Amino acid sequence: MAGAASSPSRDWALAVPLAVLFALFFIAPLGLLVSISFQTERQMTGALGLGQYAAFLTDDLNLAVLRDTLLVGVKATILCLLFGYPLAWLCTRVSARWQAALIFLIVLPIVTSVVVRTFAWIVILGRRGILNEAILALGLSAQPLRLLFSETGVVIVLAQVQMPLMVLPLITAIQRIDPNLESASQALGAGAWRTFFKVTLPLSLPGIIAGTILTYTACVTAFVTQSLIGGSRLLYMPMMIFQQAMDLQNWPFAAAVSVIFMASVLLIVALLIALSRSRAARPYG
Amino acid sequence: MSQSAGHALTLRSISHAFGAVVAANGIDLDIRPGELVSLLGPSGCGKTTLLKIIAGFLRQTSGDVLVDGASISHLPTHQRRIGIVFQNYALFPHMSVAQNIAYGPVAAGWPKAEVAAVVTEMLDVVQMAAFRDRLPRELSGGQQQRVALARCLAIRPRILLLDEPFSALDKNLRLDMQIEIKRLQRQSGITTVMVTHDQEEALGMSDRIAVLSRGNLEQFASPSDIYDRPDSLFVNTFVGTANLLKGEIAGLSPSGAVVRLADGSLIETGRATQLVPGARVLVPVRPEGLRVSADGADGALAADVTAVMPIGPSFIYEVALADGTPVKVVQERDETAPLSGPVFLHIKPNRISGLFADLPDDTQKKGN
Amino acid sequence: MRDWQTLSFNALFGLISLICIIVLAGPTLVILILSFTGEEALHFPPASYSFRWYLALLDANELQAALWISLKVAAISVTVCVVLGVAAALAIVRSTGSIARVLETVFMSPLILPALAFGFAALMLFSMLGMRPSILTLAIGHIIVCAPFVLRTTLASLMQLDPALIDASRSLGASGLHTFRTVTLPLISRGVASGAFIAFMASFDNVPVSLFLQDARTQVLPIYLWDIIQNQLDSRAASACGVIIIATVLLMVLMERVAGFSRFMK
Repeated sequence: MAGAASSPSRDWALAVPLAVLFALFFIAPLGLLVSISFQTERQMTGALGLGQYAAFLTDDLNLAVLRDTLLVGVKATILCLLFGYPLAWLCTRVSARWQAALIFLIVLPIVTSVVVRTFAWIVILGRRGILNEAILALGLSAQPLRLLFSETGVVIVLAQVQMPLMVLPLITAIQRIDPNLESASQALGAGAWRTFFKVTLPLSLPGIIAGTILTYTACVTAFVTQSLIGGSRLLYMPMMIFQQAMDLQNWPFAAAVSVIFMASVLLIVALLIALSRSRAARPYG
Repeated sequence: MSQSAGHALTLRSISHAFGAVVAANGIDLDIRPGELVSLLGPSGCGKTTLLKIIAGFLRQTSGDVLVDGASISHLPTHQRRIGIVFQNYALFPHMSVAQNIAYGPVAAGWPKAEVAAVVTEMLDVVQMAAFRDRLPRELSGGQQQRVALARCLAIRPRILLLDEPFSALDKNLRLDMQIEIKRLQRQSGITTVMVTHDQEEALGMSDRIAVLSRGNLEQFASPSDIYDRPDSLFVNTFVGTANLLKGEIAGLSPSGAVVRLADGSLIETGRATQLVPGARVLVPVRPEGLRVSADGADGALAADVTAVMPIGPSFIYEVALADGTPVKVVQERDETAPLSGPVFLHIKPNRISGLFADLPDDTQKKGN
Repeated sequence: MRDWQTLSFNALFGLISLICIIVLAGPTLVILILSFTGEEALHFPPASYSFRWYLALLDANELQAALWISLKVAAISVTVCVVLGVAAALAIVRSTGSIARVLETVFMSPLILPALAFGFAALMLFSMLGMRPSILTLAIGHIIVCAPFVLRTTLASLMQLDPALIDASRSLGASGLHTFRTVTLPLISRGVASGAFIAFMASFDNVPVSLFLQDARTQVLPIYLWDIIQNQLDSRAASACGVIIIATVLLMVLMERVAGFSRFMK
């Protein structure tokens, strides 16, 4: 509050340029997207209606794409949480120097190009890739496994590519827990596992939810990874929008698909936020 | 530093509200040139709001702030030339001691030579010349405070504001810095307003004290008047320790009143009052205005010793009157006074600091 | 029994963490090693090592052109993001009103919304406005998706800033602009620099928005690389990725030293 009162009107002016830019090139395009999605004719003749939405929602193939996209995000997010939580926990248990090194290692993938990281996975998961050669050499399978262009591959790569988005909020949340609580739990006779499930895990819930929101939205919208690892056989919503818009030049339908996709993602985010609010109200529940 | 000496500061019916909360309610203060005035009160009483209004961080809802009779209400902070030492000192962490002190003069566009001269002068004034190239985080709390003071005096402010200046210092250092600041203030003659919630600080350093409660000015007077002749029950209980004896007015005399206490004994209050006979009153007596002894002379009250704390040269007694009212007494170590059991309580002459109406709720009003 | 519990707990968590670390770092290392292959085909581990594919980059004109476009777009968008983002952060952090919260939500929402849908929407707007795909349209799209990064780190460092420092500066006679230059900006510079770095990398790496806003003359590097990887798996893709990895790591070490930027990622 201090310092704010002298010239509140002038402080506002500072936000205006970015607000104008967002109004012109963020809000306006999204508004246009929504309005074009109501055009019933592909040629955009001006006839309005819900035709495009009906076309999407009555076709089982389209609904399967939406379901697959949302599910692949769920699977990758769960994988991120299962593997990311121990890593985040480790980061809070090591010395400051090691923690800095680990965080550097975790942040590095976010900053490195997605195309580069996905490219690496093609080399690793390919038919004659590193993983298959190892599997064949160890005699775990007689045939090379189909990892590339499979949903398993997409889930694994998405989990690796987006893992940092899960781990970083988790580190923050676990660090915020008073270490005395864990000591108290152990002093009361609870073992390491019981202490973890009864104290550490519930208290880090805000971090889990924040990480889940970031990871999930990144996974379902990860166009590059989905299309490079999934190949042409697996179709997800982002690719569908791109094909409809650019290859088929069907803008009204692509707009409707975009709106449905955005609405689904926002709905899931809203549910997660609502969940975090209800848990936050009773943090020890 | 003679230029900065002696500016008068006037607050004229200053009011300020944050939404429905009234933080200042028509405050009038006339602060004389060269005076050191404390704004004293519990948290939420409006003292910090007043300080922010004087500094210009906050614009009052109504009323006027004047320096030497000229209104400064319309001026933004940086044109007011009012120096302020913040509670946490607010030294610029990325600048050395010398750069901190030079900050105001540089911002005002002083010639380089003058800036250098004032930095050297101020470093000498606060005895920090050896630390000129240190960063704030390399200094102790007391040293940081000296730098904060030097930085603010460097702009030759017309008024000096101190916001809870000693709260971040540990107890031993606090007294040293209080003496130091008092000395600097006397030397420079700069009009100073200090915000504090610490009554000892206010009593020890101020020329006058403004006691505030819930946005209202309760009393504006010298420390001895505030302590010995409080205007209101609030001032009486907030400043120092007060025993309140319940009773009712038995009669009025030209020089004061006679009050019948709960146990039936009569005492003379010696101060005039507008209260009528029969009115329920509270008689305030400071712990040092009482004496405990084994002998019950005329007018002494019967009491029982609850606890005794010997603290060096003096004893603190807690005794209970016949009706159970607890009373604190501070007196010199006296081997003849009993340490337990029934005792007699004597009220020393002229030690009754006022007389207040005993109202059922907490909206205590002035009694005289 | 507690010892067994502690042991099993630490062993499992340690093992999973180790797997994570290998999986996080592994792919980048694989590409880095592969970029030094001496062979024609990309096979791991390479039978021989050489700099031949790095040297081949010197003649890769299309790749260089794409790199140049990407750098230009990133430089323009980051500059605009920093100027407008820092200004907006100052306004948002000083105000407690609900309009500020709404603005913050809007400015942050490109992080959550599918970037591809936004890219498509922007394409439709530009085509309605008669604007052909160009460096300008690319830069505008990138500004929108990169602004949240600058805004977030700047807000984080502004929150750390003691408001009494600003009050102190004003009371010492400094104007608002002087205060910003000498107190606010130096004290939030790490956050601003970190945000600028993250925004630069995000722009340099962006595919979903660029796909809609570029044309053949303004193809950006990640999309060019994507094309090669998908179509012919040219070994120059590996050496180009090698250059990107090395440059990224060097920049990251630099930013960590100068601005401690990984703090701002949490």
